[in-house]
Formats: sequence, C-alpha cells, structure tokens
Amino acid sequence: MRPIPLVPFLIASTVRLAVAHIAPIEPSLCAFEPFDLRVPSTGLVGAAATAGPDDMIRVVYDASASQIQLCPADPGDSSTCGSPVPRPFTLGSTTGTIAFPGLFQGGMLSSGDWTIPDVPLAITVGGSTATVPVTLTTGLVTVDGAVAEGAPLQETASATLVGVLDGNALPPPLTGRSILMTLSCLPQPFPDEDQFASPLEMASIKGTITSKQVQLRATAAITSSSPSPDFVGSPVLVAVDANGATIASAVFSTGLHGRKRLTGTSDDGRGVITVRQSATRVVLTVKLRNVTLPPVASGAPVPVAVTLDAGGLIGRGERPFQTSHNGRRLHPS
Amino acid sequence: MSQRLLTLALLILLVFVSAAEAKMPRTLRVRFPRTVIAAKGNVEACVFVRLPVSEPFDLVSYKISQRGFSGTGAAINHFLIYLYTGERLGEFAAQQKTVVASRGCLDLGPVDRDSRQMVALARTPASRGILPTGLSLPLAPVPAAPAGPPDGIGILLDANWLNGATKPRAVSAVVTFTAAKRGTVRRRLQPIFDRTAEAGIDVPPGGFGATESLVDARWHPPGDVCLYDVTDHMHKRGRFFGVEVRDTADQPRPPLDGLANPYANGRPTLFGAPDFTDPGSQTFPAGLFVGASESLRYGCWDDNDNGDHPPSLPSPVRLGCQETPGVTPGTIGTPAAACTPSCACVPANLVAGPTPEDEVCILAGFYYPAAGGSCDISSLPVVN
Repeated sequence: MRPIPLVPFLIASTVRLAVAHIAPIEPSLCAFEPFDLRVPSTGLVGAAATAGPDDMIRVVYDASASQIQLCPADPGDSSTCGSPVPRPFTLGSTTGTIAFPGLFQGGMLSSGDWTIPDVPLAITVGGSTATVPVTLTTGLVTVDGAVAEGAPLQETASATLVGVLDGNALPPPLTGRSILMTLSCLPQPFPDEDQFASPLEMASIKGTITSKQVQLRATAAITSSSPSPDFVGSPVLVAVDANGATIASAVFSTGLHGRKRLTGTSDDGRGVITVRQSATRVVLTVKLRNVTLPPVASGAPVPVAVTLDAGGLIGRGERPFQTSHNGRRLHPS
Repeated sequence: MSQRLLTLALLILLVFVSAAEAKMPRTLRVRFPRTVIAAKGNVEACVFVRLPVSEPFDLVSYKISQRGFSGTGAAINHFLIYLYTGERLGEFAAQQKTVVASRGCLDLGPVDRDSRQMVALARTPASRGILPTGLSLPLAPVPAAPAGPPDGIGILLDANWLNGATKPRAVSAVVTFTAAKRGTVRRRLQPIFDRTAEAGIDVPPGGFGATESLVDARWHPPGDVCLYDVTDHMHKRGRFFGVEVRDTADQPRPPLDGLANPYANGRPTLFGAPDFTDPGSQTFPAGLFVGASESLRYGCWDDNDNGDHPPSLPSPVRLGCQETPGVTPGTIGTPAAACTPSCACVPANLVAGPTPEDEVCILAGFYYPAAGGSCDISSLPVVN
C-alpha cells in the first residue's frame, strides 16, 4: 500500500502561486482569402477582391470559454483592432462592397472548428446598403436545399468558413437570391487548439456505400469537455465525403423527434437518421439515398468522412474504406 | 430490512454520499462520477453534490483519491473542493451528478454561485489534509431557497485534468471528509468573504483597471484574530488578485512573500494570484496574528482589452447588448445584457456581476479568534 502524502489543510503553504492552467494563446492574424461567392440557384459565381494590407483580421482566443473574438486589424498596429474596411466584390455583373463589423465573436473547438453566429455584414451595392446577419461555420450550412461544407483549421490547412446570405435581406439587384460565401483563414501564429472544448468525435464508423445508398453507423463518446448536441430543437445537417468530395448529404430542418430514440426524415424525403443518446455516448445511424459516388478503382483505399452539424455543435469522424471487386461498393477496410 | 436497504441504496444513488439524514455521521463521502477526457484534452470539469444534513459538519481532515491516472497518460492539474455558501441549494442541487465542463466552474449553479469557499485541494492522485490540532472547519448547511431553513451542505468539486494520451481516458474521484472527535475542537474557523472591491470594477472596452483606483477594499477583523488561510475568487478577465496586511499605521507589513503584483510595479503581497481557475491560497498553519486595529487590504486588476497588457496575453473584450445608441452598455450594479441576434452587440463596460462574462473580486479565507493576543489555542477549553 502506498503511503498518502499528508499536507497541511487546504493548500500546502509552499504552494503560493498556482500554475497557470490555461496556457495563454497569442493572438493571430489572417486574411479571409480566398473569399468566394456563389448563387446556387443560378450558378452565378464571384469573389471578393484580393485581400490587401487593410483586410487583415485579428483573432483573439479565449480557451476558458472556447471562444474566439475577431476584428479588423489596425493596419498601422496589428496588435489592436482597427476600423472596418469595406472590401470590393463582384458577383456576375454586379459589383459592391462587403464589410465585417468592428468586432465579432464565435466558438472554437479543439478540432479546429469555428462557428461564428449572426455576423452582421454590411453589403453595399450601388447606393443601397443592407446589414445581413450571417452565421459562418467550418461545419455545414444549407442553401436552397443543398448542403455546403466548411473545413476545420488544421496546422497546415486554412479554416474554410461557409455561410449563407439570405436573399431576402440583400439589397437590389441581389434581392431574392441567397448567396453562399466561402472564405478561408489560416491564422498566424497557429493557436494551441487542445485547450478548447472537444467536438463530437465519431468513431467506429461502419456500414456500406453504394451508388444508390449510404448506410453508416457511427458512435461518438461524450467526453467531459464536449458540449451536448441538440438534436431536437434545431436543424440537423449531415454530410458524407469520400476522397474529400461530398457524396451524400441531408438536411433535417425541424430536427429529430422522439424520446430515447430520436429519428428524422430529411427535407427531401431521401434520408433517414436515427440517434440513440446516453450520458456517455451517441450512436448515429444514417441512410441516405441521394448518392453521387465517383468511379473508384477496384480495391482502392478511400477515406470516408462523416460530418454532423446539430444546433451548431459539429461532429466529425473519418475511417478508411475500400472498394469492392467490382468497384460499386465501399466498405470499411 | 429490505426496505431499509432499498432506502439506503436510493440515497447513495441519488446524492453520492454515505450520510444518514437523522444523525450526523463521522465521515462523509462524495464522488466525482466517472468521466472521459478526450485525447490530448485539457478540461476543467465540475460536479455539484448536496449532502442532506441539517447541522454543520465539524471537518478536521479530508482524503482525496483520484482514479485513472496511473500509467495512463492522464494527469492532474488541480482538484479543488468548494463549500457552497449561497442560499439556493435547491437550484444548485438540480444539477447534481452532472459533469459540467467549465473553466473556474462558473457555468453551473444558481445566480449566487460565486458564494463559495475553497476548503480543500489536491494535485496528486491520493492526498490527505489535516487541520492543526484544536481547529475545525464547520461545513455549514445552507437553505434550499433564500430565507429558508438549512437544507444541506453544498459541495462543488472542480477538477482540471489533462490527457496526454492519444486515446480518451476515464477518470473519477472520491473525497472523504472526517469530522472532529468529541472533545478535540478548541476553535472553529470562521469564514472571510469580502466583496467590497467589486464596487471598483468598472473597466471600459479597451481598458485595464485596478479596483483600488475606485475602492479602498478592506476586511476588518472583528477583534484580535489569527488568519489561517487566505485566497481569492475572480472571473476570467481578472488578471491579478493581491492582498496585504495593513498595520495600525495603515502601512503594509510582513509577511509580504506572496506573488508580487506585475501590474503594480512588482508591489509585494501577502498573497497574490494570477489564475482565476486555480487561485491557490496562503495557509498559516500556526495562524497569522492580525490585531483588531489592523486590516487586510485587497484588490483586483481586470482586463477588458483585446490588446496587449504584458505579462498577460490579450483576451476577448466584454460584449453586450446596446440599449441606447451611443452609450456603452454596462454600469456598476447593472452589467450589460448578453448579446442576442436581435440586439446591437457592442463592446461593453466590464463590471461586477453574476455571469462568467462579468467579473468578481472576492477576498476569501478563514480565521479564528485569537487566544489572548496569541494564536496558540492549546490551552483553550474544548468547544465540542
């Protein structure tokens, strides 16, 4: 039996300075570059002008609350916030400017996922300006019934944020056409991500993928630092990627329904999701019949990734699959 | 017999304590439920426990056993035990058994969640703490709702655990409190809990402020006392807490071997703390005599700027809903409301308030009445 060290009551008097438990994180700078615009309903594409020195964004981290705060960096002193600088854009034949607010904040997870809700963007076209709130996320968004994917911040890869400008809030002549924004940011210096809250990490991904149907089952452990997903009160989005390309996705706008066993049918009626949740884990089953499976060589390894966005909480999982002999089916390798 | 066993089992299941309500037991056990730390994770996890007793528990020693750390890659940053001293135990207890991830354990509990006293700490998997002979620390029951009768003892467990492994790790903890034997207590520790400095928290966006610029915050002892332990409580924008003993001439007097204040030209302190998640404390096992005409002067240094204020790194500025155009929200006594999609979310003044986004500046700790100008209580009569 090991002896238990005896210490004076409360903290040992020798411990006067508590060790810092949250390692401070240096603020970063990044430019939203590239900054693409697309109108999915018409196929119209465009982009913001190349970022200049006035377009740097300063990112300040708060690991204690898993938050980030962003502001336009002062071009003369990047250690402080400056004034918002409208950035020119073109979209088809339309030109205008888009300006971020002076300060905005969102959440960050240890996976490098960002969610920045309700950023009021000032969109100016001609003489008209409209303030359009947009939620930017590295997870999933839905626009005109389709799902668009962002990408989390990785040591060597930018965070790709996606967001949808509601067409009804846009000034003319853009009114009525929702715009998908896709913008990237690689903060320098790169932040220590480990101190932030954990995402829902999906493991044990099993199932099969054919050209007609994706049927997968994934299990996610709920750790002490992962926020609880909300499957009931908010929309749930799912995307399945193979070789880095989205092959199937689904939108469950009204969330899931049920008690212990939550289920939902996708807005297009071609996807079904089932969730069983306990205090320690979530078991997710998806069947998606809207599949675009590109040709893959027989026996070739194919990384398959599942992304879930439930009430702003992002879950991710990846597993290597391989093709069957005839190349028409993917299964776990 | 089976009914009694069932009742006992239910009690253990519900409150995680081996305590009987009718008679104060000699020991109380509190469990931190098994929880999983993500790979490479650094998490501060919090659990609240209600002990269903109606009388104070005369604590003299504790034992903390943390499990899941031997050879697993998991490590302990701190394990703190707080005694809840508020008046809303019923609200707090509604969350018991639930593990909540929260830095500083600020995201759980009722509006008076900051009413808490640190009573124990461990940094190793197994540790014990014992009070000096003749002293006890009463764990007092508090009401379920304001102005109600004592309903139970509220204990908040605050664990900062790390997982250096590449796989998730499950950990847990058990705390055992032991009460004083009859006829052994000569003095009971009394709490110090002073919040007067909070009237001096008023930091505009882009600012860095010291409470002492607005308030001369003091704790005046009720007579000659012996300081047993001193600590603090801040929220996340608190960068430093400092306290010193002021003598009868109102000058700082030794001991001044606490952490020097980096935001006040290295001013020495009796106790200084830079970390809101783990304040640490300064304990005086033999007691530090503080005369009736002396005082403890303290203050906090708060940061509401996302610019540089060495040695601390920038952190997010307080945001709040703008109620009146052109007026920065948040005044002393009325913190800014949290941002919602329907309001103009703007940088706000940092003032004292109950939410984790607001600040607090609390001097906490324990003292006991001196024994005729001395801290030696060995000749005093027993009180239990």
